[in-house]
Amino acid sequence: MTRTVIGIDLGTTNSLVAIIENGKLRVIPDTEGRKLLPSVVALSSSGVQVGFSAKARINDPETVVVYSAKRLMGRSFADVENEIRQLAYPLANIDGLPLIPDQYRNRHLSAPQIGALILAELRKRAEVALGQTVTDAVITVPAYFNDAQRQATKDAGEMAGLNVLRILNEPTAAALAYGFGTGKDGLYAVYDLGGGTFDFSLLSIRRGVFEVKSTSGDTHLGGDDFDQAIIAQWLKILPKGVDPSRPEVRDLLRKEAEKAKIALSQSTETTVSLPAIGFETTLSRESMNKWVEPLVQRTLIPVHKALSDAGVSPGEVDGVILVGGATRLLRVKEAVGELFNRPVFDEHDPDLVVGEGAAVQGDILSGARKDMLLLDVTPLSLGIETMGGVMSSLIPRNTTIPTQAKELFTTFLDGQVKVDIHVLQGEREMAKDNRSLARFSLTDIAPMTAGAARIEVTFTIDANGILDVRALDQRTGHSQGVVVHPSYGISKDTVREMIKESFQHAQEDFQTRMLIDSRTEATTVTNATRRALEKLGPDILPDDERLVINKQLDTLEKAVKGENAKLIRDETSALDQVTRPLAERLMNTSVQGALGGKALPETEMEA
Amino acid sequence: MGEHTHRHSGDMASSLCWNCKGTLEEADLCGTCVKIQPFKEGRDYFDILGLPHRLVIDSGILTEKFHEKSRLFHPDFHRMEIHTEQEISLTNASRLNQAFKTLKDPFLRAAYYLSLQKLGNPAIDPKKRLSPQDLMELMELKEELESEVAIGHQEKAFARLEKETKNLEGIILGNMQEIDQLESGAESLSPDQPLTEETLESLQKKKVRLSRDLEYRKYILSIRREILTPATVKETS
Repeated sequence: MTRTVIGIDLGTTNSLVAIIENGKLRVIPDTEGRKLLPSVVALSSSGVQVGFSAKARINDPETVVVYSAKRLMGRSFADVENEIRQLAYPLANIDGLPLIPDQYRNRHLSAPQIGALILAELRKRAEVALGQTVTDAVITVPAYFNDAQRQATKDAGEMAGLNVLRILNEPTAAALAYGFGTGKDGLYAVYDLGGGTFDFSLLSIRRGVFEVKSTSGDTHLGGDDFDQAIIAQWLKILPKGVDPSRPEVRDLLRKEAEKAKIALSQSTETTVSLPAIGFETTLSRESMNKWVEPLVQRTLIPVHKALSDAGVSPGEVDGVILVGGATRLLRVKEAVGELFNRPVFDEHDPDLVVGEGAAVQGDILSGARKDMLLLDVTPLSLGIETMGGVMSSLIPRNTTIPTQAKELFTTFLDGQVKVDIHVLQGEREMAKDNRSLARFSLTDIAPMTAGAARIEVTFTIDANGILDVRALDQRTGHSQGVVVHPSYGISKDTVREMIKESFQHAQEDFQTRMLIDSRTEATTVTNATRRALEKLGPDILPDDERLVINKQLDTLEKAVKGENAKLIRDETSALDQVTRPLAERLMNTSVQGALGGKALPETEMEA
Repeated sequence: MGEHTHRHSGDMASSLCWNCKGTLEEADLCGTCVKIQPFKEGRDYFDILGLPHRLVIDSGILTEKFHEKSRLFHPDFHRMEIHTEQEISLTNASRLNQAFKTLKDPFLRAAYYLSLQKLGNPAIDPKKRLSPQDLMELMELKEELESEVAIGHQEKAFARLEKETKNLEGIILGNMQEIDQLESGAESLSPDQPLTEETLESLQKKKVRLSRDLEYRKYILSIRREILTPATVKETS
C-alpha cells in the first residue's frame, strides 16, 4: 500500500490541494464545496485566520490582511522595496528580510511562515477529506523561481509539518495534468500567466516521458499587473477630492478592475460604477486591450527566448497549453494564437490544472505509477565568482536536472586554511549583476604551500532545482567541511527554529481542536440524553437510576465549561457507562416491539 | 563480438553488485537483487547511453536510449529506497543527463568523440589552439563586423555572421559523415584485414580538419554573442 502524496498549488492569489484517488484526479474542496483557498492570512487580536475568512476582513482596520506573500518568498527587503507600495500591509526590514509585523502576538512573520499557514490549512482540508493524516506533498513554484525562492517554498512546507517530496515547476505540472490519461505525443508549449508571475516552457511528450526542452519567464509579471494597468488609466479620471493613495480606494479600484477584466472576456463593453467614491465610467474591450498590450508584448520576450534556447520555431509546436487565470483574457489568447497558429488547449480549468499536475507528480513519487516520468530543467545558469568579479558558469540554464558540476579549488597563500566560494545564479557576465545565492567556505584545510591543496567541489542541482554543495579533499579522500552563508532568505538555523516553533503552535492548535471536538461531542450527548429522559416513564427507568444519570449529566456540563479536554472526554464516557443499562433495555424494548412482543433468547439478542 | 569492438573500457565484466555482492551480468542493474549500479569511472557517454562509439547518431534512437536509461536511474523512481541507492540514482542520472546533452548536439558530440581519441594523437585534440592564420582571419572578420555595426548596419553584419556560421557548420557535418563512413566501413571488415595506409591517412587528415573547424566555430559563436548582445538589449528596452 502506497501512501497518498498530496499535490499543492501555492499560488499568489489562490491555492488548492489535489490528489489521485483510485486512479482519478480530484481537487479537494472545503466543507462548503469551494475548491480554491484564497492565499490570504489575517492577523488580528482575535487570532490568525486563513483563506475566505481572512479575505473577508480586508477592510477591517483592526486586522492586518496579508496577501500575495508569494511575491516575497526567498527575496530580500531590497528586492521587494519597489513593490511594497502596491501592498496594503506593512513590511519591516529586519536583517535585510521583508517581515510582516504581527503586533497582536508580538512577533514578525516571514513569507515562508505565511506560506506555511496556507499550506497547513490545505493539509487540514486533505486530512478531513481522506480521514487520515497526510505528510507527503508536492508543491508547485513558478518555473523561473531561483534557488532561494524554491528553498523558501520548501521551508514553508516543512513549517506546515509537510514532508516536501518535490518542488515542481508550475508549467510542467500543467503539462502533466494534460498528459494524464489523454495526452498525445508531441512538442507542446505551456503559457502560464498567473496572478503575479509569468512562465513559458517547451516540452516534448513521448511515451509517458515529459522532457522539458527549455523554460523562461518573468517573476514580476502577472494578472495583478493587468489590473494595475487598468487602474493607472482610471486614476487619471478619478473625481476631484478622492485620494488615490488611500488603501480603501486602491482596494475598491482593484476589485472593480478585476471585475471589468472578467466582464470584458464575455462582452465588448462594461460599466464601471463605484458610488462610494463617486466614480462612474464605461470601459470597452478595445480600450482595455490597448492598455494591457505592452504587458502582453512583455510576455512574448521570454517566449522567444525559450524558443531560441530550444532551437525550435513556433511552427514546430504541436499545441499550446494555457494556464493561469489571466489567460482567460481574450487578448492574451489571441496573441498566443497569432504567434503559434496552433490549437490552444484551454479545456482544463486554468485555475486548477497546476494543482492537478502536482497530484500526478505526487502519484509518481509515491511509487504508484511507473508509466510517467518528468525530466525538468534548471531555469537559470549557475556559476561562481572568479577573478575580477566575473561570473564563470558551471551549469548553463535549461540543463536537465538532476545535474552535477565538479570544480577544482586550491589555495593562493602559504598556510591558507580556508577558501571562499561565491555561488551565483543568472545570465549576466558580471557577478554583481547576478543573484548571489550563497557564500561557501571550505574550512579546515591542512596548512601547506600555496597551490598544493586539491579540493574538488561538487555542485549538485537536485530534481527540485535546489543547490547542494559538497567538497572532497582529493589528496586524502576525506570530505571537506563546507559552511554555507545564504545571501538571501533565511539561514538553515533560523528555519530549524521556525519549524520547531511552528510545531509548538501546531501542538497548541491541536489542543484547541481537541477541546472544541470534545465539547461538541459532550454537548450533543447531554442534549440527546436529557431529551430521552423526559420521555421515559418509571416503568423503564427507575427513579434511582434516573438520579445517577442526572448527577452525571450535571458533572459533564460543568466539565464542558472548563478548558480540560481530557476531563470532558472522561466525563462523557462516564455518562456513557451509567446510561448503558438503560440503552440496552431501550434497545430490547424496540426490538420486542418490532417482533410483536416476543422475547428473544439472550444469545440471539447479542448477535 | 559486439557491434563496436574498439572501445569497451567501462563495461568490464566480473564486477560485483554493491548490494548483494553477486557477480554482475550487466553494468547498470544487478540481475540478482535488482539494484541499480553506480557507473564505473571509465564509462564514457556512449557507454552510459548504451550506444556504439560513432560520430553520427540517429537522434530518435538517442532519445529513446536516454528515456530508457532515465526510467532506470531517475531519482523519482528511487525515492523510497535506502540512502546509498538514492545517491547512486542522483549521480547516475546527472551523468546520464550530461551524456545526452553532449551527444545530442552534433558539435559537442564531435568534440567529445575526438577528445576520447586524442590520447597519443594530439593533432586531433579539439582544445588545440588555432593557427596564427586562423586567428588573424577571425580578428579581421570581427573588425569588419564591428565597423558595420558602428555605422548602423547591424542587420547586415548579423546576416553575414549567420552565413559564415551556416557554411562552417555544413562543412563540419559533412566531414563528420565522411569520417563515420570510413570508420564504419572499417568495422565491417574482418579484424585480420587492416585499414590501408591510405585510408588511415585520410581519416587522420579529416579528423585534424574537424578539430580545427570545431574550435573555429567556437570563436565565431563568441563573436556572434558579442555582436548580438547590444541588439537584444535594445530589443527588450
